[in-house]
Amino acid sequence: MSLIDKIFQETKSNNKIALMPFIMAGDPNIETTVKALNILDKSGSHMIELGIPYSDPLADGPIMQASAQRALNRGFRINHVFSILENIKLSIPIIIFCYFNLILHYGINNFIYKLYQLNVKGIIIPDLPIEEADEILMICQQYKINLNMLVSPVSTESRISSIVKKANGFIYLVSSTGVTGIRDNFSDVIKDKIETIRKYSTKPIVIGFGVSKPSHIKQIKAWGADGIIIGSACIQEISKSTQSDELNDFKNFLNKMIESI
Amino acid sequence: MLSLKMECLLFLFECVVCKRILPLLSCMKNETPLFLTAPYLMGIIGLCSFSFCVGSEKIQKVQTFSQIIVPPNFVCVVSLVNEYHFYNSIKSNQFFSIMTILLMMGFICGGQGGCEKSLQFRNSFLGKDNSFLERNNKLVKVYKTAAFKSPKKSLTVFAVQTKPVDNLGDTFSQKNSNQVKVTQVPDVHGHFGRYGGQFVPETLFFCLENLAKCFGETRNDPMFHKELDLLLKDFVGRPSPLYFAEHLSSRYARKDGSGPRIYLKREDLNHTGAHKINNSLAQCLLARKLGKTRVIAETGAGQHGVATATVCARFGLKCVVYMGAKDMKRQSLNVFRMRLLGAEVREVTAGTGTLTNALSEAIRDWVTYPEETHYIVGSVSGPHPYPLIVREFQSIIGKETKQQAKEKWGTSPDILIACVGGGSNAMGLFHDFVEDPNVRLIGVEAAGEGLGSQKHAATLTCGQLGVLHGAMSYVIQDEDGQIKEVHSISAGLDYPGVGPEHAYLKDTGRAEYFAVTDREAIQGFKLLSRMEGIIPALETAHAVAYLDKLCPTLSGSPNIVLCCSGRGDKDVHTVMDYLKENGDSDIHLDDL
Repeated sequence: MSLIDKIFQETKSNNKIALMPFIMAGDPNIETTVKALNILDKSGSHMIELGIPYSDPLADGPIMQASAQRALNRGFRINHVFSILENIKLSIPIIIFCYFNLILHYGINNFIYKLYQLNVKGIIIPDLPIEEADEILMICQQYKINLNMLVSPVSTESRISSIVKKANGFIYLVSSTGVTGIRDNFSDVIKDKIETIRKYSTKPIVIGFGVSKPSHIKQIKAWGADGIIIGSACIQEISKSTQSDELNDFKNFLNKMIESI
Repeated sequence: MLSLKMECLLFLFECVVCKRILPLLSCMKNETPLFLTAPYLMGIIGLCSFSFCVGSEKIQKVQTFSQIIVPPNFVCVVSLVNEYHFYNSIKSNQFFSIMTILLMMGFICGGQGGCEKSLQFRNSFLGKDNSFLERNNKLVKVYKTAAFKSPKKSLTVFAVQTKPVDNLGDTFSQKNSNQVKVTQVPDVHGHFGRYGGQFVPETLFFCLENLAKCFGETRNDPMFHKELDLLLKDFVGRPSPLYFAEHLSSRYARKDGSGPRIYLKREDLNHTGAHKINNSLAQCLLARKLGKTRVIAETGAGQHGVATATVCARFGLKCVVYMGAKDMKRQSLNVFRMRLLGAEVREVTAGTGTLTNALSEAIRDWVTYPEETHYIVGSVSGPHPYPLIVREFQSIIGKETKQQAKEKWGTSPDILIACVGGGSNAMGLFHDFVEDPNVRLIGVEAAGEGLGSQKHAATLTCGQLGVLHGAMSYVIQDEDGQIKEVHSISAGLDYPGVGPEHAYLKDTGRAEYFAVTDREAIQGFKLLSRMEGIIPALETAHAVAYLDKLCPTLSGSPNIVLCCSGRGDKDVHTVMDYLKENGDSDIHLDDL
């Protein structure tokens, strides 16, 4: 059983939900990213999602777009992500969030191999559909890296079944239509979708897009999901915190969220 | 297990009795299965010369050598394959048909287990730069080489691809073979060879599936076509004329009176002044059929936005147009027109504030409201089924041209030329002629301030394989794969991507693509105005400018059709500002 599967199993048996915060590499600068990663490591989160800034993020709302733009304006390069990961020691697994063109341009094989060398455990590619994923799935399986596929609340059942059959990691169920960004509440459709997915697969289900409050976590946990990804809210907290050096706002935010899992 | 001598005799028997020498000679005439010729010759010569040698050692060496070139067992199969060739059309994928036959035969007849050795030898001979084949096959361009072992390990086969067939991959999937018929391209997932596809967030898939299904239904729906044809006639003003540009043609006439005959396909005479309305109108009908109440669109020059706002006004649909901030400034006339027509124009400030950012934002809007919204993509780019849909609706240009050409001079045009941004007017003109190899297809892109500068938008000339806005195509990107800022004086060509079908046509060599700078385009703008009294859009002016480079290279009097994709009223301020800044000898500017 992979490390990530073990983590999900553990949290489930402790009647908790796995917390997976997301941060954008290089926003506002590399030092902050390294600090944030270390904070996340000790915060009680179960996994970290690290996003690679991209110039045309189709799935991202204004907060993430601005975050990626800030990183790119400072001259962020893909090699910076690799050097961050090479020089850091973390106790919890990392999952990379990256758009497909960056991977394609680097060379799919080279990229996945690089992740393997850096001990990255999984990857999420928001604009890669299951139909185009054969090559990368094969390579990911070779290097034992999870390719976590996305499912949306408007995905048809036949599509869900074909996706979950091929995916080799957890299932990332986005909480609503639309792009990333903080939302007020979530619809019950998610609960139904979780049940539909469970019909076809026993893989862990993770919810993301829009989570920002402890009440969200409680609600999603009650619906039976295995994990929660918090993205835009984390980025917002980090951008607040850069005045003080210690990212205290970010730390407090994480503590608050950890309490509700 | 046959003995060595028996194998040699068998081989000779093949040579003589099966008369394989003859097919071999006809191969060389037709240049078709040339890839078998060299090994053949070597094998025949080699074994013929040595087959009667005494001494097993020499024969062993010869056999190893021949196994590199032509394993004895291979010979019999190859003769059958040659026959197969002549009964198959040239267009079929030779590589796969031969491989399939060879492997299906699973030919075992004796032979040594020199397979491993011969593969090694083969690799060192053929290596990376095909030097072996180059030495022996100077007539042939080698695209790819491969070696295979038969299951019984007594047969080593290697083959050389001498014809361009796209996307052989490492699988024998039939989906990639036989993709020459234009109507079969794209496949069910929207692939043109390796280009196209649907690289979008999962949320959009149900929209794309519904759209593809609905489009499939309308293709066979006579009522839909009747309504569309009537609107194209009465609302848009089709058919657009195919106009003989006599005065412009005289510019390229030679002393003996011959010279290219240039015809302009007047898409600028359509309602709204460009070809964009062909697509917007038909997609609006589709949206209505899908039950959508809201339509969104992206726009660069504003023509597609205006066309969409026009048809939405006509059909009473809510319309939102995304336009880059920079484009809104340089095409403010069109912004006003859209608002006048009742559309909401949303400014996109992200990135460079041009077409590419507007497209991204439109996709995000669609991802957020997929159920009630139809996204009218303006060009043959985007995720499948858009490249197919837009091409279908724009292909009226080419269909009419074919008809008009027949009426005017009796045959198809010799050369088609059009500007390429996303590629919709070019694809519309080209589509009906792609299958006719006698028609030369030329696309003209924007070279901005020059291909050497970092400020151009010549995607097919300077871009690399990439995924942009849902499709795999050529993309102008930096070393990491981040999408680059592009530049062109014409807003409609200012796009770092291109339609996937154009990428496919370029790779297969069916169409040629060139680039023209801002300055040359301005000259083209003035040229058509001065010589024919037609002020073209700056986008079209790129194609007009290319005529100056193309015509001197032509011989005889070919009939050229240039797609005049739009009129230039929207561009006069841009051109005026450019000429004021850079000076102009022809036009009096001091009092403006």
